[in-house]
Amino acid sequence: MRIVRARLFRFSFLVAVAPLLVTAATAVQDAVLHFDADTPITLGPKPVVVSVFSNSPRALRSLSVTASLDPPPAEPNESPQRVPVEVDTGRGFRPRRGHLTLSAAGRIRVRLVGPAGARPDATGWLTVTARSSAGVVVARRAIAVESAALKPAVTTWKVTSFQWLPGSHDGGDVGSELPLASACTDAVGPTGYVVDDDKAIAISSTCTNGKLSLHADRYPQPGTYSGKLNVGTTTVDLEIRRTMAVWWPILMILIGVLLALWTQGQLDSGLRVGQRLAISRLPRRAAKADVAYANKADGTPWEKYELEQPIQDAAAALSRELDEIRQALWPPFRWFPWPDGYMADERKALRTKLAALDQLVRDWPSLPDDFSAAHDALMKRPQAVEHAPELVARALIVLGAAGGPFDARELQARRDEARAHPGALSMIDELLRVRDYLRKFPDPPPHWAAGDQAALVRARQYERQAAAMLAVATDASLVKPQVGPVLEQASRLASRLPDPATPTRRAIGQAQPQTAAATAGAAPIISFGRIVETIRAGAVVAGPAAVVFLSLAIGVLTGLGALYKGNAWGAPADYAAAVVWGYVASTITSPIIAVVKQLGTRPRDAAAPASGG
Amino acid sequence: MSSVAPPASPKAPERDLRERAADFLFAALVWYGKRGRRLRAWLSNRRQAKLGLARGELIVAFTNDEDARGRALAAIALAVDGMKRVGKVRRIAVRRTEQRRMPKHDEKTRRWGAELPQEHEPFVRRGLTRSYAGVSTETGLESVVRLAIRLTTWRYRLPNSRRGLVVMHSPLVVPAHAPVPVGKIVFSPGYAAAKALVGANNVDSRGVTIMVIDNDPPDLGQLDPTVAARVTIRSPYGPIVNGHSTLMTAIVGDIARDAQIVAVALSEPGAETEGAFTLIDVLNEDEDGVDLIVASLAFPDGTEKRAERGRDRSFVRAFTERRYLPRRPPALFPTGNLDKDVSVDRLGVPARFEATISIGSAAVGAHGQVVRRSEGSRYGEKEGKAPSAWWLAPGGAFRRVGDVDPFVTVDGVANAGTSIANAFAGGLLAGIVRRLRQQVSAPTPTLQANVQRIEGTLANTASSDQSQVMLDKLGTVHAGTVTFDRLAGECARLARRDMVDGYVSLEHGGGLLRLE
Repeated sequence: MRIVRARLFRFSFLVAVAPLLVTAATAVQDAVLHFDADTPITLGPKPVVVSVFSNSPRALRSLSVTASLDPPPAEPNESPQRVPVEVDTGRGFRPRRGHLTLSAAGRIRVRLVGPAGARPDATGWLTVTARSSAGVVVARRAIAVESAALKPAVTTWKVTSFQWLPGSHDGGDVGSELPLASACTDAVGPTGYVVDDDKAIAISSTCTNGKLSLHADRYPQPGTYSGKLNVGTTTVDLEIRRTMAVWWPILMILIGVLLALWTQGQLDSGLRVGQRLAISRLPRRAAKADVAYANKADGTPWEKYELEQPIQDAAAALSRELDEIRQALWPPFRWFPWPDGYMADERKALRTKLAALDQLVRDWPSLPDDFSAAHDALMKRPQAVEHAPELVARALIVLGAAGGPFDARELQARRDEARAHPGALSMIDELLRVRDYLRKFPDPPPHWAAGDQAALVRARQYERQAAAMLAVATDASLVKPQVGPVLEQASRLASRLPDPATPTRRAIGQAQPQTAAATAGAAPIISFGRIVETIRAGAVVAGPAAVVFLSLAIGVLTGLGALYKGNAWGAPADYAAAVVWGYVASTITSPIIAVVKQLGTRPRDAAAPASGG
Repeated sequence: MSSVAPPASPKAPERDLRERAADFLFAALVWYGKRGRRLRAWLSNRRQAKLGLARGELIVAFTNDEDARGRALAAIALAVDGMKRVGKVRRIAVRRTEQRRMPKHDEKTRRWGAELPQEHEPFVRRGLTRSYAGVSTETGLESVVRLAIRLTTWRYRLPNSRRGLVVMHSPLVVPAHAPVPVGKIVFSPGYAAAKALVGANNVDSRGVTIMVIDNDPPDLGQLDPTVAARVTIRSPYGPIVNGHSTLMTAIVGDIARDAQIVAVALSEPGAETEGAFTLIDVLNEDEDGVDLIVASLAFPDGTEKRAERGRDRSFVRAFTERRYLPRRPPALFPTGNLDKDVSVDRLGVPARFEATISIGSAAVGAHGQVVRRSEGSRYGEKEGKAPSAWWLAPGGAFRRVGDVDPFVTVDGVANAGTSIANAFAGGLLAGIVRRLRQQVSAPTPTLQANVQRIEGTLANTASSDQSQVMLDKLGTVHAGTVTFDRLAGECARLARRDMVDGYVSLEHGGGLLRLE
């Protein structure tokens, strides 16, 4: 029972005392005295007032307020410097005398004034002590003497910040340091913002060696950023020009000049790029032409002809020729305007070959019709074997696709011959017609004038000459131009003979009128295919047009950048400046081109025509 | 089967499992083929006629790939030889396309580019070309032979597709006319009037030989004795089931009163091959003594299946080739009669092909000289450069097959149509051939020397085989042979457009053929 009572007593005791213990512990833990802020008190020429509060439920006695500045770190043995303190306990600030009493939960105000001769940036402590029921309570707060006041040497500061790479927009130190009229030590300086349109950059500063170093945040883009920075009591107008490093515009201008030179080179030398493009397209076009050809020539003796491989070979040869022309120049000058008349003959020959190949590819799909016409012409004139055996043999070789494999030149020749065969074979008809007519005069009648008799003899001579020429003719494309005039002479002479009744003279030596069907077939037909063909043809012209456009774009854009951007453009002087800009741009490039052209001149090209490419 | 030597194969020479299985299945197929032949023949007749497919003829298409071609030919030979134990089976011919890239395939290659399926790659490198072989079979054996070829194809490891070997039916060649009875032929007064109108009463055709190709040989007993005396039947005789050939021969003989007539029947007795391949084979034979071919036949258009498109292309090619070969007389084909499943505004096949002389039917008015296109005569554009290079000849008035006015009666049955017009035109053109021949000048010693000179030049030129063929043709032309081009040119010159009522080139081609 006693044990139970003792335990009950101990429990009751604990229940009663525990709150007191908790309160006491809390009182020990919570500061009884505390300041209105924890930040250091900056002492300057003006007095600073701080408040001290009591959390104690009872009045605190023997309140003592002291403040002192520590000696400089370099001289630790010096005694601290006292700081004058005035205390206001409710009756105004008075110099501290004796011990004060702070009422329960009361407040006092303490006024500090920087002591005369206080070292700038010196630090110390403000200490408040008091006696309470729990013992002595203390509160401390740091003191710092205000730095020396900053005074800028300028009121406007313009600096340039360079961006080295297009993608790096990082900030950092900004240009030169801002000069100060006052001394400063390493300390954080004033901060502010600079803006360009709707883009703002935070600016901070540090005072180093009497100068204010500016630091910028990340730059969104190059531009001219401006703002105001309060340095001490002075406001400085700050302008930061953020720009790419100077070698960038230099590089761009050089590229522009080189581009202008290259452009001029392309225009001067007959559009080398266009030629390359045309050559590279030839095999693909030839393959398509082969398909069209095969569709038309299926089952015919001339279906064996194929264009793709010969054109591939010819295109490769043309590319090599173009390379050889180019490689004759020193490498850097290959890209620039070539000298006037540079390898003019070789380049003209190359263009001629390219045009011939292009024409062959264009003609290829319709070539079966030409072969068919040649075949029909031959089969209609079996007597051609008698009068022009070599021509017939050649026609059979061409139509039978004999003598392969064929290169592009041979195919061109066969195309020309196939087209010329009907006309060449028609010469046989003409020959027979003249011959039949002349045979009507076995002997010149004696009553004929001597001139008529001579005309008959000469007509027969011409007829025999034409027959002889036909007998040995091989190339159909040459028959009409060579035999035709001879036959025409024979026909003219025959038409002068005095017996006009027998033959139909009109038929001799006169070209047959073109039929209506033939002219109707030549009527233009607007078709989709033709439109596509026109666009493709336009694409070839688009090369030089693009070069011209590029040059114009460069000129216009640079002109806009220099003259228009950022300015209120529209004054008469602006118009004049734009005209001058265009003039200057052309006068800059022309001398360079002239010089570049002279650099690659070869002695043998000097006398060549100036037309060049 | 053992009579055919197996082709060289990279595999082991011993028969592997696939070959053993194929041989066993082939033996089973032979056993099956010998049974139920009548039933199969009856079913085949019905089915083939319904689908417009030839009885007794198959076409085998295979690639010209060097390795595959050998195996394909061996597979066909093995199947044909094996099937000879079942019935009459033979290979007709192999038509090889040129070794070059096929246009369509070339386009595909270009379009596919880098995405070209791997299995097509060999054809891109070598070019996809094909050969077409005809296989003649007994009626009713088509399906069995087809199976046999597919089996041997499998045996030789060829894909059963366009990249390997494909077997298809040949299109059925039929007279462009309803079946004609065999009986007495009577020409109507309208026929006589038409003859007078087109100048066919006195056609000088001396020395001209006309070949009449039809499904059957003509029945000489039904022909006028003066005509029958000039007819030579080249094909073996058999039972004549259709009097169409007799009628054609009678009309040709009636118009071309002096011409010799050679009759050729496509259907061998018993074999009954009526396929297009057989017709092309006959047309491509070297005919030295024949001046003109009258074939009043037609076959249907192919479907849009790839294999059939290729087959049709090979037909066109075969006709085109004839044009450039010597001793291939020009052939006349009718434009076709309006019938079910055909449209009147499209020329029939092969009349549509450029290298044929196509004849449509014209009806002569009873009173006066008004000529109109027969209502049921098909019309349209020809392929090639001259879409209206086809002509009209009297063929009687008719609306469609079976609905005719009497132009010629056979055994009392009225007949009219483009077949008759074709035969009529054949007689007329015999007169033109005669005239063209008369224009030929006699050969001179210079000519002989020059020909030898040209032959020498060609002999010294590589790959001049086609050139030599053309020289041969030039020689035949010089000797008086009438070519397709000359005859077509003469038809165009003689045709009268003013005699056709309401002439339109689409409907009336080049006009009415009329001798001057």
